[in-house]
Amino acid sequence: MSTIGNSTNDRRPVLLIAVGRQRCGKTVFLNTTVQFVRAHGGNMVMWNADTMNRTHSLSLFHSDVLEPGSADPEDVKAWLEERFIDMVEKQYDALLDVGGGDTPLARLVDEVPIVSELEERGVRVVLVHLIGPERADLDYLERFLTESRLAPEATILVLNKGLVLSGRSDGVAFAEVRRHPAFLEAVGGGAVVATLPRLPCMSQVTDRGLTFLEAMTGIVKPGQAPMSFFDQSRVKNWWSRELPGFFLERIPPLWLPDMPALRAEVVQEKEARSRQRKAEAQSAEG
Amino acid sequence: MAEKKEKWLRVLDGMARPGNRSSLFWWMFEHHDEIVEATAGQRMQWKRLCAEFAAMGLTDTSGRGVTEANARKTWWQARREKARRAAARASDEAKRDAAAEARRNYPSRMPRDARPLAGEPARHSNGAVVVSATARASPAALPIAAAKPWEDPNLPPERARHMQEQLERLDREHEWNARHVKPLSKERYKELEQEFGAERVQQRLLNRAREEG
Repeated sequence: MSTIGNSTNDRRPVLLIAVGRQRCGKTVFLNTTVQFVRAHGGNMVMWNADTMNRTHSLSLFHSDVLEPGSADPEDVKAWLEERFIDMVEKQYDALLDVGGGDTPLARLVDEVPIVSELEERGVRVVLVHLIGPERADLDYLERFLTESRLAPEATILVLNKGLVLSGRSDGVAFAEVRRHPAFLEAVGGGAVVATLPRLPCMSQVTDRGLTFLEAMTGIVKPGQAPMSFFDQSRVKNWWSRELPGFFLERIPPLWLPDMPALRAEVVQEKEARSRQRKAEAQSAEG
Repeated sequence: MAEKKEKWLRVLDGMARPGNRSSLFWWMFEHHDEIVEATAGQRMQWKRLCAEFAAMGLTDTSGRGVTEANARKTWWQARREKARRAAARASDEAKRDAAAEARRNYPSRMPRDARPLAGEPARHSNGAVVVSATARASPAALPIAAAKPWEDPNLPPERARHMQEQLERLDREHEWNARHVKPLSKERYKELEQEFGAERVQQRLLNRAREEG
């Protein structure tokens, strides 16, 4: 586990922002994150400023997503400012879906150094770059690193395995990413690398507007065909075996909201392992 | 006439130095070799240097004074740009050499009695070893970033350790997946076709075939 950004035990409210070019999995990542956090006793306020994406927006999966009243970029920018002020005053965890391309957030960042302003007021800004195996994903990252002032110390480079289509191994698919100067520059600057595991039937879940827990338990919404039990099993496997490793082992814990239930699980697991080791040692002595 | 020439020079300068780079970047880029020689692999004292940059009127892209983090990042970008241009130049030279070598080795220009001898390299009539175009081209075509990136002397030790840890873990993870994850099934192809359209999946497969030669 990396120690950068995690050297002191100062838990602060987290503002998680996902960036990347269009259709690189920003909304899927944020949707997965908020569901994982909530399922483990934490919470995050959701802000959806992605006014272009209506088919797979966060609002499709959650009823408590806050959205700007207008799609006009200047209105969205003003709305974002209000949200940031509210977050500083009330000190809660939040995530922001800004969408791709020239976003109102980018305009705001050009005007105000929001990272330093928020960090000074006790908020930890965590920037997540979603990266697929295509050259254009790296072009986006390179341009972002060169031009954007949105560059907090807490930066995560998420390699999205869901975008590897042709059945290549991950190593081959992401080989170009792994040696690209922009990627190395970000890692050299302290960014953490994490590989988002692939859920083979992701579209089966998202097209139905189901949460992962609903998909696992076979919930069917009116007018929809049920998911096959194979797909239910795939979701279960991904959720319970692959995602915990992604969130717990790859991302520094202070870069995510507190998850009390998960903490309790980890403590219990450690205790169980310790008991097992003691029992093994005793049986070996006996 | 002089005015026209001046205008042209301004345009050319704008092309050579796009406005998305800062004055600090261009200064570092132009003095790259001197900086490398002067620092001799030692860590930069960015705080002190930022004061010097300010005194020289060097700024970031928005015309503001340079911070330590910004200066460090700009130096990285200047070195990267230098390396990129050097690699592009080396690649062009390799292509030119390969083309020239291919012309030299053309059968019509070989001596009539020239025969490759087993265990001995083929030679020109002047005794020089015949080198194949591909063999000539390959050393220069080696990727410039083949060395371990965390061994960059300009990376602070903590960052270098972090980079090594991150990249080695990623490599281990990919290696494990390559051993344990099964290739794509026909069902998965069908799923992907439904999800992304057959054309896009075919394009990906075509790209893959090209990559694998």
